Amino acid sequence: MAISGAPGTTPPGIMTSSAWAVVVALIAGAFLFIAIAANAQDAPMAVHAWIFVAAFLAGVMAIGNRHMNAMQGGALADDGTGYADGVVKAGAIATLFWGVTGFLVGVVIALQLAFPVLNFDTDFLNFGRLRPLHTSAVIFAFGGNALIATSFYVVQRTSRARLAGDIAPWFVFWGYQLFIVIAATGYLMGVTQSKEYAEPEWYADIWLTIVWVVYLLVFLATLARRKEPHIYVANWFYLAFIVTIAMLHIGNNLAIPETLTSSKSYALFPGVQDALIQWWYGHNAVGFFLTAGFLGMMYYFVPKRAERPVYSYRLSIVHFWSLIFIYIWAGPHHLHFTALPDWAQTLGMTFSIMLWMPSWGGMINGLMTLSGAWDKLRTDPVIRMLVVSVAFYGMSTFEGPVMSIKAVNSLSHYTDWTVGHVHSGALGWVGFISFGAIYCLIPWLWKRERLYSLALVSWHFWIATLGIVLYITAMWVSGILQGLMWRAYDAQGFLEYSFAETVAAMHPFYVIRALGGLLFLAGALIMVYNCWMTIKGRYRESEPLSVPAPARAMPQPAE
Amino acid sequence: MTYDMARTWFGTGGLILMVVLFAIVLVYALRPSNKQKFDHLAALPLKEDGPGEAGKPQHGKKDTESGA
Repeated sequence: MAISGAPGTTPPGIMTSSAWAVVVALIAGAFLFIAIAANAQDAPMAVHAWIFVAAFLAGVMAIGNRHMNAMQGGALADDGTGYADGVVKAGAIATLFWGVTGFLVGVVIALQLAFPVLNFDTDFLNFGRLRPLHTSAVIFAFGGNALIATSFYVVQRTSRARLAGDIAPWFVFWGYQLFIVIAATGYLMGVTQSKEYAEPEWYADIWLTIVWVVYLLVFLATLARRKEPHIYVANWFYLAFIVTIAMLHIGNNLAIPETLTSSKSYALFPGVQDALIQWWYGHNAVGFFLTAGFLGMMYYFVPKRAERPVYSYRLSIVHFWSLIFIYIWAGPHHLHFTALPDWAQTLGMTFSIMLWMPSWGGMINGLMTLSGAWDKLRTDPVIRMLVVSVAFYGMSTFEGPVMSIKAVNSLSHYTDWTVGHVHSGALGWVGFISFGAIYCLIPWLWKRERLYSLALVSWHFWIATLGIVLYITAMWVSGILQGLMWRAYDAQGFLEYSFAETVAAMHPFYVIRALGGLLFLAGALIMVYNCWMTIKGRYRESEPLSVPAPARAMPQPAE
Repeated sequence: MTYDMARTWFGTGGLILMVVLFAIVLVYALRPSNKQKFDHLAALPLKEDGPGEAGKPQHGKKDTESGA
């Protein structure tokens, strides 16, 4: 079957008029940021302006270098007619790198909570600055790269079309890494607009908007040249993720900078309106970034790996539309018992409970896709990882609606229960589905017969699962303990415990949580080693290749 | 137009619009005549990849601990 590769166009890397336009834009951007650096009102702005200048100039060099290589290259590995997988490979590696970074920072801040001396009395390593570094690194850097890489892979395969654009997909990849670097270094320098999961300041937000619009255009243009008559359901989920994140990002980041050379800005909306928009954003970041996007992953990698068709395609359509119809209303449950009008709180709670149905419909669809292939759970640790991730999805989407009920929320809100809930979704669902997808992708992309070692995947699976169990059970106990201590009154109507007493009571659970995080990090390091050896073309000697030599289509890669 | 009017009209109109749209989705998903299309789509990830991927090992089957 032919892949639509825009016949007659220049091979990848050769300068076209649009490539020249990109170069001109990058040079203009570099001059703009040199001017901003020269007039910067504060040191972080100057640092960031120079990072932008360096990145833009590196972009110009890279485009030039690609052109030169393409001119001299002769027979290219990528002649522009097959699938564009270079950017997917880069995304897979970036996912591993940011994953380990984000998990490591998570372990550090978990230890800081257990042992405050680890703050070291410095600004840079303070919990308040490292916490957004952790959340952004795992959600946006690890999760985001996993989503971009898999979406680029899946949209090509299910459309049987090469990724649209030559420079554009690479611009999305590197532009996104630049956003991550700006956001992360900003947190360490104290640059934040203090909105949870939307901490980066105005200039980083504008940059991400540009990158995201290009991402949307690449995705849409690839769909437009598809050879399949219909758009596969995974692409619907990816598209909902891309479009909604664009809307949320712009809506929640409407702000007025102090000056165009200052890193500080002020939100456009005041008071409770700002709070509502923040949690409309925040909860839909959960719904559309951490759920819809990764459901797209599920709907491709689970059937592909299990070699079974989707259990019910009908259910997947109802799953998709009911999920996106309902999720967008659930945000106000983050603002129970605040200045937000009561009816809006009840609305948020009601829609959160309604979310049970699409969430569990999707979970059942994912799990039942294994019907007829359940034996693979025993033999294939990658399938085990994918299936357990879907099980965690079911568990955390059961827990979430329970916690959104006002009576439950009055106990759980502001406690560690919330933190535990988030991590059962983040480590269990998002983490494991991404690990499973990367374990599939690495041998496929680098054309290896299989991973270096499946035993190491098993080790990763069990160590990480144990880590998650330690983490969430510790947080359940700690959270409920904390909530009960906060609301305890004595006979005279005074609060029974001071705040410091509740903090002291949580210490053992914080230590257990840090241990759980450490196990999860250890699992990820095993994964990095396994993937690295796979990319190098090694196969673990004690695990023989499973097919007789003549049946192997692949030549052994050079070692 | 007062706030109350706008809120009533957008609220009611929005409700009706959402319910109608969702009903259309349900009809589309459940129509028996769409079955063939959906069966094709359900198996789409399993289809052999295009020529750009020729020579790729048949992953999945062999990629198991037991080699089964």
